[in-house]
Amino acid sequence: MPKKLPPEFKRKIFRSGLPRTPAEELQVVRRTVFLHLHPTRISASRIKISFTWCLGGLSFLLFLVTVFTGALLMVYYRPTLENAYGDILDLRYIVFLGGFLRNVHRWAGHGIVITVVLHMLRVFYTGSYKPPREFNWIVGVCLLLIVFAFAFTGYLLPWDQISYWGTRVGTHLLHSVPFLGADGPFGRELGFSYDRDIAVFLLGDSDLGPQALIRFYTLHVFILPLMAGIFLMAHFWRVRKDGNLALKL
Amino acid sequence: MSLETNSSASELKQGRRRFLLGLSWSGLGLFLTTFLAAVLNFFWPRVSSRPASSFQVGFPDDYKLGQVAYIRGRNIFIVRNEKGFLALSARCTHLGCMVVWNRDHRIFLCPCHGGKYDAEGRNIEGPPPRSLDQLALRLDDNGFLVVDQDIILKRGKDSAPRYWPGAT
Repeated sequence: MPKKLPPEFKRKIFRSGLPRTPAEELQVVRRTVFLHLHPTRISASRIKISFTWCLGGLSFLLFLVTVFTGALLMVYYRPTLENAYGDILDLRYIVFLGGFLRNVHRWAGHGIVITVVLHMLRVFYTGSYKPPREFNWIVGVCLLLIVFAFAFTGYLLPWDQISYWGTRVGTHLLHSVPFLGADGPFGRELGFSYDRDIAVFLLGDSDLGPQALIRFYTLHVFILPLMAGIFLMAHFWRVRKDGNLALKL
Repeated sequence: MSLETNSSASELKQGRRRFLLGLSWSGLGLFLTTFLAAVLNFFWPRVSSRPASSFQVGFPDDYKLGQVAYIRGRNIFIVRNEKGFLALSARCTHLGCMVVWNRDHRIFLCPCHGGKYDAEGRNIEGPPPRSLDQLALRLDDNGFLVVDQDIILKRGKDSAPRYWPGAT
C-alpha cells in the first residue's frame, strides 16, 4: 500500500492550491517564480492568436533547440587546436546520436537566422515597429545582432578548412575599422599593423589561432547566451505590455 | 530677515548637496572608466605567439632564376627573376587569405574570392585593392637572405617593385 505524502509537503512547494477565482489566478501568477515573469494582467485581445505567422515564436523554439543540443555537444567538444576537429569527427562517427545532435544544432542555427529575418520583415511590413512598440524594435535589432554573432562564432568551432578561412575573412574586416584597424583610415598613420590592432581584442593573438578558438567558444556558449536571455526576456515582456499586432494599426 | 537667512541656508544646503552628488557621480564615473580600461586590457594579450619579425630564408643561390618559393610557416614568397629578389607577403590584400602560386599561368591566385596577382605581386584581377605587400630583404653577415616582416616597402600602383639585387 503506497504511503501518502503529508499534506503540508505539497503546500510547502505550491503555496496555494489551484486557483478558483480570478483574484486567486492573479495571486498564482504573481507568486510563482516562472509565471511572475509574465505580466499579471493583459487584455484578452492582446493574446489572441492573430496574423503574425508565429515567426518570433518559431525563432524562440529554435533557440531552445540549439540550447538543448548545444549543451549536449559541449560534453564532447574541446576547444583546442589539438582536439577541436577530432572531437567533431568523433561526434559524427563515434558518439551515439552525435551526428544527429550536431545536425539538429546546425540546422536550428540556420533556421534561427531565417526565421528572425522573416520575423523582422513581418514586423516591418505590418508597421508593428511604430509607437508604442518602437523600443521593442530596438531590442529586436540587438537580438538580430546577437543571432549573427552566434552564427559567426559557431562557424569557427569545427576548426576545419571552411570555418578557418571563413572566419579569417570575417575577422579581417576588423582591420578596416577607422583609426583602430591597420587598413582603416588613419590606421597605419596611428601605428597599427595587422599584428597589433583592434582585431587582437577578438583573436587574442596576432593571428587566428588557439586563443581565437577559445575566445569564440566562450562567446558562443556563455557570453552570447547570457546576453540573448536578457534581451529575450525584455523582448517578450514588451510584446505583451506594449500590445501586439491586433491593436492600433 | 530671518526668512532670508533661512533661504540662504537652504541654498547653501542645496549647493552642498549638489556638490556631494557631483562628487559621488565623478567617483562612480572614475571607477567605471578604470573598470572598463581593465576589461579592455584583460582582452589585449601581453604575449604574442608571433615569431620574430626578421628571419633567414637560405642562401641566394638556393633560388633558381624564375623560381617562386613559398616559405612554409612564414606565409611569404621569395621571387627570383632576372632583376633580382623579391619578398612578397602571401596575405591577400583583399581579406587576408593566403594566395597560392600558379606555375603554369605565372600568377598568384587567391582561393577565397579569386583575386589574381602577376609574378611581381601586382594586383591584376579580382577584388584585391592593391599589390601584395613587399617585405624588406637584405643579406646578413653570413651571406643569408634575411626577410624583415615588419618593414613593408612602399610601392605605387603602377611602379615596379623594388628588388634586392641578385647574387651572382
